[in-house]
Amino acid sequence: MKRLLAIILLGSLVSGCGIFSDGQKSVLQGGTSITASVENPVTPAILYRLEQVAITATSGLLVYRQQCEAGRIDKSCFDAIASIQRYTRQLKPVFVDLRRYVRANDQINAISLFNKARDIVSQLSAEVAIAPTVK
Amino acid sequence: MMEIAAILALVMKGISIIEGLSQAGQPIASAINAIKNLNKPASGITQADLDQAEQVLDALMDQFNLPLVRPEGA
Repeated sequence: MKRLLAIILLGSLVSGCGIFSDGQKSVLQGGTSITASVENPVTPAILYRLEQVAITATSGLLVYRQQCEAGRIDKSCFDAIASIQRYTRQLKPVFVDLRRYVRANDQINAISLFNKARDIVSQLSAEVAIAPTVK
Repeated sequence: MMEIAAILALVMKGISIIEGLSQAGQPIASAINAIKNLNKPASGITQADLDQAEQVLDALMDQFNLPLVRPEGA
């Protein structure tokens, strides 16, 4: 079980830090797409990939939460989840606005929000790194 | 006798893995699907794909962001 959860959590981070099929590094790794810019705009395809990364990461967090609530992780996991939620709660409205701006091809606002999402994920990753692991 | 105890321990470990998997089933399925979707070429991404990603991500985030119910002492 410990190994399975480690795979899920690591998988979330690996996919978040992965390389796309067309060779672009993800927003979370520091590849060419780490900073959206006028030269590197937020297209619907980039948004789609960012959402797939977020789905993988959030799935991992959800499994972690389930295991925490089931008592399979040290009780301090509740504090860790509360800390992580401070960031995941900020991410939801960022995604809602980002989708709107990408649909309208408003690149100025889309780029700004994309980079904000990157910063939040970076802070969130730091919280995940210190969260207690499965017993 | 030792062998039976070892086998029993293995069986118990197997049961705990199955329990964990069944509990984590939906998030795991979403994660596997999302990893597969990362390989989709940009030209193949449709509006329906975008709509579905939005729906799945929002549902997962809402679920994770629900207030925690802490057990006593946590």
